[in-house]
Amino acid sequence: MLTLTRREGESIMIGDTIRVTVKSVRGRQTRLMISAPIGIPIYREEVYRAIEEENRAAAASRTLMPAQLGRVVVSLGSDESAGDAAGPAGERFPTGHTASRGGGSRKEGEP
Amino acid sequence: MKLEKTRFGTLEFPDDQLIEFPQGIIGFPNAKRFVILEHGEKTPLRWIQACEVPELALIIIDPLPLVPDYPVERILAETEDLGLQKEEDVAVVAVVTVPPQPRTPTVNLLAPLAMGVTSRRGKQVVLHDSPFHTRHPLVFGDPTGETPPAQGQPADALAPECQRTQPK
Repeated sequence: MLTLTRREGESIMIGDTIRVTVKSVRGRQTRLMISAPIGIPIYREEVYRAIEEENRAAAASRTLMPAQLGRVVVSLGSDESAGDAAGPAGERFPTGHTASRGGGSRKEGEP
Repeated sequence: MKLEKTRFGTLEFPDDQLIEFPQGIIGFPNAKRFVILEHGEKTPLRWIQACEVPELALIIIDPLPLVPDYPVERILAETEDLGLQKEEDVAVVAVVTVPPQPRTPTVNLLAPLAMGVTSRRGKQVVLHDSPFHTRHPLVFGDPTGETPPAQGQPADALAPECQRTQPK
């Protein structure tokens, strides 16, 4: 871990190819400019964490052997119900009738 | 390529069906090669299975029928490093999460997967400062309902069991 003090307009180099410049400091906010080779992804940390968490949650998706995905149509629900809420008005995912097809229970015990 | 101990059991498919994700996907940096699993039914859902991590398989969906104005061009711009340039050469899919009930299934529109159909390289793109987030709720309906099923998913061209040729 390294802590550095920089003024507006000053930069740090990370390795030979990544430059982080302090563009401006206004009150509680600091604007950074990052220059890095294409192919080096840059994320706000909370965005990175949210995607990491979601990828892991997606990998832990319940049920659904290929056959169980079956013939379904999918549409986007209302945004207000995103996340852990009980769900949008309208139909829920019909796991009720697919669960009886069996074979998908291998993953039911969460790691 | 033969994969054992996936959630589908043992999978075997030709190596030319592999799609390389040089940067992996966020949270699974070791997963670099994937294969798309088709199930031959008229469903908008598919799986993408990681080769290095047999227990890693994600449900994917074509986001365009869900969000007609999904910013595909911007996603293409983000794949410049992979040499994925032409829109018709890139398949964009979004990852679906099916949590334990009663929580509702969601789709991650913030971080879609973009894959070159001919280059067979892909990455997870992040749509910074967009209206999208990681958990847009999905409504699963009956196939006889009025919502039309997704048509012509570009990911078809990557599916191992799909012999469809990609239009130029």
